[in-house]
Amino acid sequence: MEKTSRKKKFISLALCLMIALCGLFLLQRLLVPKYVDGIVEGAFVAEYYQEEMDHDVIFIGDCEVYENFSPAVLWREYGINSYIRGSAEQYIWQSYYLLEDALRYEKPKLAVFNIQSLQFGVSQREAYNRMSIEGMRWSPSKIGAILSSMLPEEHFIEYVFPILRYHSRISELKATDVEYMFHSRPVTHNGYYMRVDVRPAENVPTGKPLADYAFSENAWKYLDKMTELCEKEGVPLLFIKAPSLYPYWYPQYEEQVEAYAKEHGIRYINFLELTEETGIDYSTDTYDGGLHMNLSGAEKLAHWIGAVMRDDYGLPDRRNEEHLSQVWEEKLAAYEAEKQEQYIKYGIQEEN
Amino acid sequence: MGRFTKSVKARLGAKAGKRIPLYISSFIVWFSTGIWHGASWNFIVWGLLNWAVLMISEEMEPLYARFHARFGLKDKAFYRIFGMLRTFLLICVLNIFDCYKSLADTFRSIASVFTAWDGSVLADGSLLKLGVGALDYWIVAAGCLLMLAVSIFQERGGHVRESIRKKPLPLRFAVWYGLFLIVLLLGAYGIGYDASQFIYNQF
Repeated sequence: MEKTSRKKKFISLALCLMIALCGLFLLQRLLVPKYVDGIVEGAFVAEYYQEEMDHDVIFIGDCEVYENFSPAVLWREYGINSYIRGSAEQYIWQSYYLLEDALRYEKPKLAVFNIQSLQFGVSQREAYNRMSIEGMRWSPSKIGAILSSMLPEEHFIEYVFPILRYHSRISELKATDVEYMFHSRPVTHNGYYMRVDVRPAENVPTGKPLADYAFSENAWKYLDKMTELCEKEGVPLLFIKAPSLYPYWYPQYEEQVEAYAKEHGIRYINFLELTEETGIDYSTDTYDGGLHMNLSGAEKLAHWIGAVMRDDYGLPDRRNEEHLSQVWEEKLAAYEAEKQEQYIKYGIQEEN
Repeated sequence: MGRFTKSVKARLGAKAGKRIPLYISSFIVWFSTGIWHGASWNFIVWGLLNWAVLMISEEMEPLYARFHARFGLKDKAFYRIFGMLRTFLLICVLNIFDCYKSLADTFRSIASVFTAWDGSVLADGSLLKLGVGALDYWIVAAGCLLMLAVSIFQERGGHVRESIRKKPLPLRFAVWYGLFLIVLLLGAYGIGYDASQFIYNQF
């Protein structure tokens, strides 16, 4: 008699525990932000895992990569299969861990890093940490990214159980929170965030003089780690500075990057100095007054850098690969479809 | 609160039946309670108003007794409900002193109930523009009702935890899990979610 009663107790306890845990899991899926409308930047990092890990080029960095290069053009004109692993205000330590994470899945022939984030020695905002880290799959890289990014008010357990961070969303749930509980909708094109509208750059002020232009030790530390990682994995690294007019890129910053690149034998391309060659026109190629390129600007930069990748890094033209071509046919269709949608949304006539 | 009151009173040696020492010791208790909330006049005034209300009720005891003997309302249901509402309203009014930064603001806001009365704000949606949503109001209302129910239950001699312990497992699980979820989801902890924190493209 006692044994069955003990067994019954055990079963009911186990059942209660299961129901409790399932409930918590479902609630967490419900409450985490879905990033499918409004603020979509948070979706970028997770989207990478939907890809077949077969890229020739991986870009890493902040908005200066994900808004300024079009992987669609790299494929269409050069047959190069690329992905932009960018995110909002991605700090250099996050770039390092995202690259380390990507290298566990694939071995690209080139890694491109936008060096603007050297300006930051510490994470600036918790929300940006979330957007760059949460989408990562759990791995030593994710743990490293969390530990290197956490601000004093954050706790590791809030990354393990995001329900602790997002519980107050219970009063702001939308239909999309239910619809996208277990799947997501792509918001980028191989990591490229498209904007077709135009807002010309005018009166961009030169930066005010700073007390200290030196990049922090922490920033250099992660640049070193990135350089060493690429060396170890045999992946060539290319530094770039996107032609964004703001935040102001000081000559003193430029000197430090050039010195580092020279010392380590790493190529560095500063697009701010190449506006003629790339054909960037700040009156038509930016949608926010010079901070980021729009579609026209991103396609021009992709066109220019694609030639570098083909000629100087020997990246092959893979348009003869049947499977990859099929995959890209679908991607290009989605790319064109969004273009049209945005033209309508922003009331723009397409130039022929 | 009860222990604090008792200890201060004991030290001051309030003798039963002697009013002045009682008033003085209560005064000190409520003054201290006020200051304990914060070293600011509005908290002190709050404490002293509580003292005033209690002392006045003490004084009015004989009058109340005569009233109840005459009209026999004490045990009627509607009177007890009236009593609850009256006490609740009184405490709410007194707690207004805890809400504003200064005494002047508090008095001004209380006065404005009469001078700037506009009942329409309760129905025209302005309440939803104060930074809390409709769901939050429902949650507050539900919480208040729950606390009221537990209060009445306990006033009648019930013990909530004992009663729950006697219920079958599914119900017990639902109650404890439900309470846990309420704290997890509605608790004021962590970095609150505010969509504007995440806005990156400001244009």
